[in-house]
Amino acid sequence: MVETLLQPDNGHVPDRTRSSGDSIIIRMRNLTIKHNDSTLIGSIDLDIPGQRATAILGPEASGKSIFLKSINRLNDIDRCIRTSGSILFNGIDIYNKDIDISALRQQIGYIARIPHVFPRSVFDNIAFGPRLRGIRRRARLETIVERALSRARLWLEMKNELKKNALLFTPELQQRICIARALALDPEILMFDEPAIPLDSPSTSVIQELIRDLSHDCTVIFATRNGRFAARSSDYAVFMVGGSVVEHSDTKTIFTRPAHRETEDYITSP
Amino acid sequence: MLSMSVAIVITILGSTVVALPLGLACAVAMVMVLRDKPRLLVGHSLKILSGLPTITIGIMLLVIMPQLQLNSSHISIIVILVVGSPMFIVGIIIICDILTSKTSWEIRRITRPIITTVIMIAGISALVSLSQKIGEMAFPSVRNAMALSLLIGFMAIPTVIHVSADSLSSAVSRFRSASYALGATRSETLAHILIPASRRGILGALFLGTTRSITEIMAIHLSGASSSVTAWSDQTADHLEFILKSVIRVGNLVTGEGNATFSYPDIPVIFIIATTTIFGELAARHTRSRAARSMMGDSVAS
Repeated sequence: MVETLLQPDNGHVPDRTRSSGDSIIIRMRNLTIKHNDSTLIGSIDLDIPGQRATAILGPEASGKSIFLKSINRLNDIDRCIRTSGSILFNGIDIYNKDIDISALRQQIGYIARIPHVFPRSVFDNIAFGPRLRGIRRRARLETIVERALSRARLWLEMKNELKKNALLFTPELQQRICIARALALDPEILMFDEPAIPLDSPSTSVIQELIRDLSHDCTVIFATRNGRFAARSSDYAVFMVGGSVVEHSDTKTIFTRPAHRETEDYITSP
Repeated sequence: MLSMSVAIVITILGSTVVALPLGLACAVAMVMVLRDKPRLLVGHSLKILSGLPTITIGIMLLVIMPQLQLNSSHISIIVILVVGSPMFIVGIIIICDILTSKTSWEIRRITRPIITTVIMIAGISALVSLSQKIGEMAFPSVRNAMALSLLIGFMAIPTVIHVSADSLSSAVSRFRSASYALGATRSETLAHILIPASRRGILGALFLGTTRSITEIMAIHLSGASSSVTAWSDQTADHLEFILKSVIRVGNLVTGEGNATFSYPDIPVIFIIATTTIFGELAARHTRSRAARSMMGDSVAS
């Protein structure tokens, strides 16, 4: 893994041996995130299990999005944000100065709250990441696009629409195109920021099933304020308030026997 | 008449070549490199500059221009450096990306500065020697066309930067995070996503800047050409006469004739009306076809 992050094998999708379900993929120690002088995340110690769906649950402005973005260093875009402490991804500190950030972000995919498809064709959107890796052969790209769309449960709907501008589709389809675009890089971790927010009820259940499916062959981490969505979609849950972790455990334990009153109040509120 | 039309078209194309790379490079630097406070400061300054009559910038350039024309290689060096430098910098970024894309991160870290240094030394030497050659070879009319292109191009730059930066900012807010999240670098995001996504805004900025410069020169010329100058105060009349003479002189240099480029004001006005009409029609057609495709997309989605 050190070699993958420090020396990305451009042009080839890494052939990983998946870790077992009980292993820890992300290990955070004393993680603190500040925006200028105000603390957004305060001294978090947390382990996130691999090959499972983990829900980061909490009310609005509890630091869920910043927390997710710190895992693939998307916070680096904002120059006012300062991160301290350590995040170990499969044992490697991702804030090490020798880390190849591009390779890291390709291994830890991120899908934003509002899906932003590029103003290009569906094919070009999904082939964007593999092309950055140096894959140029059309046949190879077609295989990757088909596989990514199939994993995002979009192939049947999109196989005849690949040349259409991605902006022409509905928000739900645009979100799934974004998911397929991230999956085209075969990430080890896939993160969703509030996946259910832009969607209506039937579309939410599609995303719910998709998260369940994806968690079988990669680690899924998603932030949500919807307790019901977290309960149905995740195996592990972390409850956050005001930039701090209140409680984390198996989803079943959190939702049936919460250890803290604050957690119980939140999950039982209508 | 034909020579004047050709001169105007050459001037517009020349000013585009001057204003586009420099304006775009400044807009990119403003959006992608500057921090919030300096960006605000530069943005407000540009708003003031683009609000000024462009002829105010033109006057300053017109004072400098005759001095530069004394030596033909000077003007060509300026034109080539102004046009070449931004393209050159973008070229270095792209070449570095291509040459090092298939190498490992550690090798890339060492080779990129070396490649950049070598290309910069070779490129600057090539640019200077090329500009000197062109300066030696250029006919007076070519030299004068370059001078006028430089003049109008510079006058258009504040507008080009201001409007392009707005367009790029909009693309940045929508697509930058998505592109970075897929592992793209800053140059890849810029080249593959941001500039293609804001190309309409950039072209619009260029069109607006260039036409505004030309029409303002026209307005000065028209007011000067009528005998109303005498109704103004002596000082104003002197200024107008200076501007008018300067514009006509530069125009004369381009056409190489007794008639100035702008002595027949109808030509650039007709040119601008024609291009506006053509672009307007193309935009309307594009909007209609997009609406039709959108309806098809809705039916597909449903």
